[in-house]
Amino acid sequence: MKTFIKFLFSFVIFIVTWWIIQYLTKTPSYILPSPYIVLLSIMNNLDLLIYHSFITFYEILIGFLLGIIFGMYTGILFIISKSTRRWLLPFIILTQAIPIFAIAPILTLWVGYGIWSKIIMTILIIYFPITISFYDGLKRIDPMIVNLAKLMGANTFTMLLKIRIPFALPQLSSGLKLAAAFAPMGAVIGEWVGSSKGLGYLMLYASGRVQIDLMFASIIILAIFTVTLYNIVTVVTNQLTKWDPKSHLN
Amino acid sequence: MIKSSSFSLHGSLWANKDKLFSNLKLNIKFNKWTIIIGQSGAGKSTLLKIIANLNIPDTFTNNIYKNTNIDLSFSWMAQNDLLLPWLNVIENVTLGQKLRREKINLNKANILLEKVGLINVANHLPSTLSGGMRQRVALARTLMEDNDIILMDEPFSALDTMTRSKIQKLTWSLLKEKTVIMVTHEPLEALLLSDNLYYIHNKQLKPIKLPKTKPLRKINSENVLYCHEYILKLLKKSYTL
Repeated sequence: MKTFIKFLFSFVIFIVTWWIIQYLTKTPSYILPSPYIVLLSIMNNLDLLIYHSFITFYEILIGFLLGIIFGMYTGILFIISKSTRRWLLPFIILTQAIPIFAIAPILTLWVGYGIWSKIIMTILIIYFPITISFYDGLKRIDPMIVNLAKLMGANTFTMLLKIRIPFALPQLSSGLKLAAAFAPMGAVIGEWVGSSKGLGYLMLYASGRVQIDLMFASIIILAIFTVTLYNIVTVVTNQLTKWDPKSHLN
Repeated sequence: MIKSSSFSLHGSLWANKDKLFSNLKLNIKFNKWTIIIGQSGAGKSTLLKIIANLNIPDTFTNNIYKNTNIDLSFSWMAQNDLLLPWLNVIENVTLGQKLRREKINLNKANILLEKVGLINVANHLPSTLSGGMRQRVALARTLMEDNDIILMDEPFSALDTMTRSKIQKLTWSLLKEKTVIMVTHEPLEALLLSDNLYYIHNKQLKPIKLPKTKPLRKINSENVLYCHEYILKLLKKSYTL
């Protein structure tokens, strides 16, 4: 609740600053529309915005969840299998070296115009931070704690579930927060490259028709969604890492 | 369960190309406290790991074998209490049962927490406890496991002097019937607690003759003070900077 109020406060300050700048510089609204005009645009195009938002949100959420699953799975694989780490890690770094914009058209070509090319884009963008942060967390455990659990009779599975994974949660949390901030980018880039629906498409559409107010409306909605996703992830990870004083600066 | 009264270790240990132990011979008597004094880097902790069949780093080569035909179970107590920070005190004490998917014996855990004087913090997280309290949780966890042999790797060295002395006494009173193998670099601690005492000299374990009194020895007795002087002299010769 506190987080939400703080977030709301920053948001209001942002809007007011924007308004003041627009008012003082008298920038024409086809370059920088005032918040009021954007609000009007949101009201007027509510159905359109809701329709396209839900498609983008859906892509982001599915991509986000799948990316977390794949990333965590890879992190665990890296810990339990030395050869996987050796063979797969360079390949994963390679996927990050290729600009995501370059992959987007190929993906559209391969998996088509629909939502799956966007979901895969999202997965590709968040897979790396999640894998690396989780793997780093998993390997950072005190080896004597692993030994202690071995002496207590833990098998590989209980060792992972009860010892290694909980220990890696603070690091994984950083990865999850990065992922929450990056995930929308993946979906929107996917939509820019080729789609007929979603907020990314709507932005291109509005920009092509010089409906700058509608473009700003799309951006604002995407920004609010991203911040909300980030805050939800923060609340969840704070719960998971309650025990770690280092994860909670006041 | 344990039929013979002792088991022994034989062999050598190398770190890279350096020999740490050469033709080591060590006899461990069951239900006694065996303590080894040695310098940091002398391979004490590694020796404990070898005894417990734990993995040691690849840089070590060892051919030490245990002369025993029974399957021994081991507990580990170290300078770092090795408590899991996300589990509260009682969950840490019962960790072994949870890992083995056994039924958790809360009754026993509570009795043990009572014994170490921590029943009132049973639901606290380790991060809220002092070093002495955390070490007492580790002690209760060790007692909960009730394994054949308890390995101690400088268990008290992170504690301040007053706390250390109290925890030493408490640990001894609760584990005096057990088989304990401890490594330490504190001659006095070793002297007060040990039934059999060794120090590392020339890559061998040499026994040190102890006063006739039984542990827990009192620091103020003349014999103990004399022996302390004697151990310090021995160590002076064997320590290198």
